[in-house]
Amino acid sequence: MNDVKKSWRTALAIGAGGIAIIGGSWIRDYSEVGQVPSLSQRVLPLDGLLASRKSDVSIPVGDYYAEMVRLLKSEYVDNISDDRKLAAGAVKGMVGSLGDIRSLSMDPSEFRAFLNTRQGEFEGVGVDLTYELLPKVAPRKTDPGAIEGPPEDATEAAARAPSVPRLVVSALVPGSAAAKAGVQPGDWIEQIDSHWVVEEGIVRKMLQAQRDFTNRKINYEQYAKVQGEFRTRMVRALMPARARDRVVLGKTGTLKVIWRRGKDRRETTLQKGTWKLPSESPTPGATRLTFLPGDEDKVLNAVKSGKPIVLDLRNSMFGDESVMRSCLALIAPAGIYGQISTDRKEAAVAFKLAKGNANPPKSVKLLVDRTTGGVAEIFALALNSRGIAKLVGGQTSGDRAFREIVQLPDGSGYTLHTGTFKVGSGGPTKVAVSSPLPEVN
Amino acid sequence: MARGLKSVSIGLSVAACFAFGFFWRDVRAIQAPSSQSVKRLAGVRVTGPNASGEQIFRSNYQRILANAYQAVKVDDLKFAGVGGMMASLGDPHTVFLPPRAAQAFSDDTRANFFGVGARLGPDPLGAKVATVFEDGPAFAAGLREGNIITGVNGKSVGGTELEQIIDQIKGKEGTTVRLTVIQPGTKKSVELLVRRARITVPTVSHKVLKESKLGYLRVDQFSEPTTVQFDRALNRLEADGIRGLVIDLRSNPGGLLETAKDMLSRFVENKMVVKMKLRNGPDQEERTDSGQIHEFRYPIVVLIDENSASAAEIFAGCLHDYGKATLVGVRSYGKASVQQVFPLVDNSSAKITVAKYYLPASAFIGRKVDEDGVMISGGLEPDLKAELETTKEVRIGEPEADSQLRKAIEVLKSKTAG
Repeated sequence: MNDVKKSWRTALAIGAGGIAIIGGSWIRDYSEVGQVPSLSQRVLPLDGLLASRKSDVSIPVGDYYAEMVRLLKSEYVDNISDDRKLAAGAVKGMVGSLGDIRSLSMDPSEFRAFLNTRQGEFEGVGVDLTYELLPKVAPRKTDPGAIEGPPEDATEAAARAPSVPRLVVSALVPGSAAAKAGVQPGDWIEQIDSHWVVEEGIVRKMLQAQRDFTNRKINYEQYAKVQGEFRTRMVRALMPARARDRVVLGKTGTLKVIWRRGKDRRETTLQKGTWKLPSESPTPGATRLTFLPGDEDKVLNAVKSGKPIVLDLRNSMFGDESVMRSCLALIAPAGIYGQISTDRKEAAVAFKLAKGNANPPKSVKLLVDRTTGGVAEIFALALNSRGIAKLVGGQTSGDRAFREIVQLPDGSGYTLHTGTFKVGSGGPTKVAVSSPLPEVN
Repeated sequence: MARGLKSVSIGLSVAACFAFGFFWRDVRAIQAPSSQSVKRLAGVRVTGPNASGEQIFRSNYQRILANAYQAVKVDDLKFAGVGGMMASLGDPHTVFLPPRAAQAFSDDTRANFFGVGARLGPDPLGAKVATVFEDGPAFAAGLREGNIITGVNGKSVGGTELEQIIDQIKGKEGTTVRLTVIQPGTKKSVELLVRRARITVPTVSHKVLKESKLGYLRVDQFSEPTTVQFDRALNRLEADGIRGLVIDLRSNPGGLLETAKDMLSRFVENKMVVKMKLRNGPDQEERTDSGQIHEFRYPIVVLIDENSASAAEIFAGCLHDYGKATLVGVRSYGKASVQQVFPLVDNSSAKITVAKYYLPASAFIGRKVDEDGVMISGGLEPDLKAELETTKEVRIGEPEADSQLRKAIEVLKSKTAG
């Protein structure tokens, strides 16, 4: 169970994100210190920086990093020569420390696939997967019949702790292996091959069973059954990031995936391949937008045509902010459409269009659903909040994040959540979406 | 003449095609990837290809500090960066310890803790008391085998990890700890005040498995008194006429190399135990002593599991490599290295692997992990794989409730004559 304990502990970097763990556990550290006779302990003054004095002057961060690299290279038992790999590791650690499912670091193959997905080129089984957190559980009072003591129990502690997210389908290529097997956006993954994918649901169930046993609501056998189920799953569990890689990376091979939709389970056997989202919308008369360069022309043509405008914003999560703003300015008048809020102390910044279209088109419909997110969702909300556009289809993903996308020299990269869009006051708080338009398949 | 012209013109057109093809490829190469890469990298901030490691770190550090959604603390981000840098080696024992973790680690390894004199096991209500050392303070305070500890210093420990409960119970010598204790099946709890003291933990226990006439010898860790305790246990078992021996090293986290070497000296004389490879300088060898050899007239099985580490792996690995025992169980932990802690001026530390151990015949057993800390490779492979069945209640050391021990017994029975 140690490995999985470690996985929980180091789930701070879920490969592509930073979510801390429930319940905590300590890494058992088996170490013999100072057994090698030829080495002796010494304090390193970070040579050349502080010399032999202790002072309050803090070391410039770049120098601190460089010194640590130097120390590692000179002392580590093996030869270390790949500076970029060390730096990529450092970046991964920093991104992970944010603990934000919208700020994700990716290794070179993940990042390459991410950039391809932006352009509608998919590998794996034909889906994109994002992380979603379960809603928080409110702590409950202890029952009076309980064995005396707990001022705070494990369930309550877990409810307050950050969670392990679920892997949810955020994009689906029509005609792909997943689509053919009946997978839909919003489905989440429970198992891959014989590995259970770690997520919070089963942990909560386990902690609830503990609580129930302590409160004498269930007997030991019932408790042991839940505990056994939990243990069996944990032994061969996959952390979300590793699970994600199995599903979205790779162009060959077969995968057994068990998907969940509410209480329903769907077992599928899927052949990996390459899949492309058509650049045209499946809906006749609609223009597909992903907010990559070139989309401004599409919007301009649609506006100029004088015909009713239908923009398809589905399967669009990671568009570019500046392209989105240009598209917005072609349709909507200048003004403030909302706010960019952060978790920092600073006040929110207005989301503003400096220049716009003084005569917005009369009829604008936006096709949205769960696969609409990021700048695409922001675009939709901004237009909808001013009554300029109607939203058609299904509820959007809820991802209203502004992101920076950064690539490192070794091919790895990350997304950085920099702010969240909040609709301007006076605008609706809930997105009103009407029923979908007919589609061609 | 016509033919000549023709061949020239063919030659020219071939050349033209060639030139055109060449240029066409260039033209296409310029056009297509350009628009592709513009789209592909739309809005992507690309770090310069010639950036040094330090520049990569610094520019991204500044970017995250300035732009992240969250309020980021300068030091936390720096420590996370350096921690991630060290973690990228894939060596779980080479880690960066920020000041608070460095302090905790230091306390732990200097063994500045003193216990209450009891062995605990997991229990849904807290911790179950498996053994109470009769000359320890817990016994004196009234703690008994079978008790369940549900609270430590007034705080409930139901649902807490066993290791954390033990950490709470341990503390400085002379200090007291308040344990809330219940007898299983009752509802009443009592409070025991226990004064912590230095405990000499017995690290070896033994018994005869009556049905099979085999000896069972458990070694919990390789501490200073372990060799003497081992010899004593061995003598007692042999006096009872055992036909085979199970040495149980499961969950043995290791300890002193010296102890492992001394114990191995009972099995082989003047043979290599480990070779240590340092970063600089020649390899160093540790060998068993001469003149300490014991004659083993029966087959031996060593039990290992995923928590057998370091000195335990050395001991088991050597017995295996010298053909003195059969290994049964599951792959061991994979600790085959020595770390050194480098304290830094800002009270953080770097714990770095500075040497590796190599066993006599095995390939390097050091463990490699992926980014989630999940083991990819490493550890000692047992000769006979045996998982611990957990579908029923497990009682280590009792054949009817310990599937790995049953397998060991099976192996020994097949090796003994009748």
